[in-house]
Amino acid sequence: MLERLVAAGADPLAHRPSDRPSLGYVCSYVPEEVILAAGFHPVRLGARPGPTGPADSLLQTFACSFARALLDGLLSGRAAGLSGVVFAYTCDSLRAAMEAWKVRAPAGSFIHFLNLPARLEGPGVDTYAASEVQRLADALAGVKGGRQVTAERLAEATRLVADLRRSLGRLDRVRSSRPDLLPGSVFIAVARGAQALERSEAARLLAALADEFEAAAARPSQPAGRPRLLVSGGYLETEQPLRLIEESGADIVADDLCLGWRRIAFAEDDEPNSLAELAARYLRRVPCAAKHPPDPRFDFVVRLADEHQVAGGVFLLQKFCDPHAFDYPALRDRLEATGRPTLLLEVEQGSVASGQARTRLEAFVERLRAGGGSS
Amino acid sequence: MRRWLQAGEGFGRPVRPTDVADAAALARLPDEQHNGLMVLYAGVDIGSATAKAVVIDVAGVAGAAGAVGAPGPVIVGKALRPVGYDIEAAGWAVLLEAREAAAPAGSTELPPLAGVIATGYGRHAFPGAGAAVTEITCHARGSVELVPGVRTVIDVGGQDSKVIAVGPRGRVLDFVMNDKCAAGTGRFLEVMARALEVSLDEFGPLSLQARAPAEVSNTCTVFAESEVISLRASRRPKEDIIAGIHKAMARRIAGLARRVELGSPIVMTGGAARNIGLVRAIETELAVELVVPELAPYAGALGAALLAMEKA
Repeated sequence: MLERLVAAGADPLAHRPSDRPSLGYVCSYVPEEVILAAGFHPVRLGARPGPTGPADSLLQTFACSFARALLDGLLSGRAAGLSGVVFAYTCDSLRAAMEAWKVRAPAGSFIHFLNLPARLEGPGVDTYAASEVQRLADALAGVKGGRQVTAERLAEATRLVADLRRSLGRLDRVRSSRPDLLPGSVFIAVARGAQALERSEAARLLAALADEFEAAAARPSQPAGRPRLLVSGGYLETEQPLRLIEESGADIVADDLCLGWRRIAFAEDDEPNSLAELAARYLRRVPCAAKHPPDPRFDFVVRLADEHQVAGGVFLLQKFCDPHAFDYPALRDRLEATGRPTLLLEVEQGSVASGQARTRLEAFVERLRAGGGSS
Repeated sequence: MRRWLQAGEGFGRPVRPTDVADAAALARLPDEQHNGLMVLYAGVDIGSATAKAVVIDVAGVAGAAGAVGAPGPVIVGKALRPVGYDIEAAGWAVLLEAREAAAPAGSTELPPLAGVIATGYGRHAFPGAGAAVTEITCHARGSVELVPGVRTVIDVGGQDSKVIAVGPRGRVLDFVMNDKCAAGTGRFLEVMARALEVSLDEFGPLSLQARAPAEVSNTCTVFAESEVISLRASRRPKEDIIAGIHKAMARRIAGLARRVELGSPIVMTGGAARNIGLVRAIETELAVELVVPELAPYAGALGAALLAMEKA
């Protein structure tokens, strides 16, 4: 179960179902529910870690390695088996990657831009977001293999996605209470797999996995005495940065990551009945750094730190990611004001440079162990 | 029957003196200094440029040669060597040299070690240690022994520079470290020394003779080297160029230092602390006075040895 989810997350395109068309999407603000209801298998497109190639000549030097690697993957034909790709407005670098793909994509490729607002509050935001989600549904109905998003289909898709999130929620609690059984890096690999595997299979596997881990967690254990950490950041191409933290002697018990809890933590009890309600729900989720105002996310991070009794926080910021870099000082101050030290590491091409980062992480863990709380 | 601990035997576990030395062995030691007991711990600091080892005697007494705090542990052996490709060999070499220095006069055997901790970037590559601790924790611990009451440590090593806010008993309160870039590290000085054909030992004294320090950018070692080559081509005196290099490094290190709460005394450790020109430039940049202990390059190894003692 675990292996299949992790393998799917590592290579989403190889794990597509054969009985229906697949559709790629890029940002966690793209509602999977709409893609499912329109008859497609949604594949969250990641980016291969490592050096980038042809995209370097198409994107500006300040674009992050994620935008570059994503575009590289598209240029090298990774999307060839997909019915198309849905982008959302996240940031200028990803938008530039989309514009470059529009120019270079084979004729007739379906490329949709879900232009969700960056400012989440204000007059007309709900109406506008609803119209954008409706426009996505209408566009998908016109793609080969697509179908109309009816109320029944939407209800079925939202139930399935809510089910996935509930199981991930149960696993999140195991990660917090027993990180020795379910390390944070594995939790994120599983969450990544849940965005790659055929969703009803993923839901089945996740529910069974949650049963298994809950049963194992019920057995008594020796506390490991490792510092409990929260990680915060954007999209991670690999779990390497998380494993590095764990290898340095700390446990990741909570996260504010694009692949992780920030995306999963939707209200569980209100299943939307219409595209407008679904759009509103995405507007009210824990925002990412590319959205405004940032305060709901800051509050969320501090609440997570309290709920999970973390000793400190590690920021994993994609190098050249302006939205996260802008929020970082304020979020760091909010977290440190609660007496929790933080550490900043930069991620590039899917990993953090391990030599120096390891020294910083180990020193951070030594500091937490020595009780060097607020300084 | 005498029995000293064999090389490697005590590594990997804290060994109590009763385990390793019998009465005859202890009888060889000068009673008046060691109360009949010699319990040694070692710290090995394998940096990117040099390896350092320090051996301390827990039962040392106040006033003994090399005493680093009274009463308390005494440094009885130390060694420093450049690191080549084989970082493990460098670790063994300095540890051996420091143990030889720690051996009582006339002894032909190496004294036993009750515990060893490795630090520095090669800390995980040295199997001779029972544990690895980062150089940040070790420099803090070592500095508080060298300069009691220290509040801030500026450590400029071969490939890293770090600023550490230190609390009571050498506890790390906060720290910052340079990014991936080598600007502001000892490596930067090495590259510049090569470009100017001046030995690193001459760098400090020469720079103090500068009349008009040159402007060198502080952002990148590679770019700064090409600037230095341009300055060389324009016939600027070496001392002015070196002073400019120190100023550029000092600006970089000061930028790092301002990110933690600076408190006096501020101690400078690491190999670059031997460069008086750099020390003065940092003092000017931060408008503070730096304390440079004689054993500055050994602060990390000393801290590791003290932590080995405290963890035993």
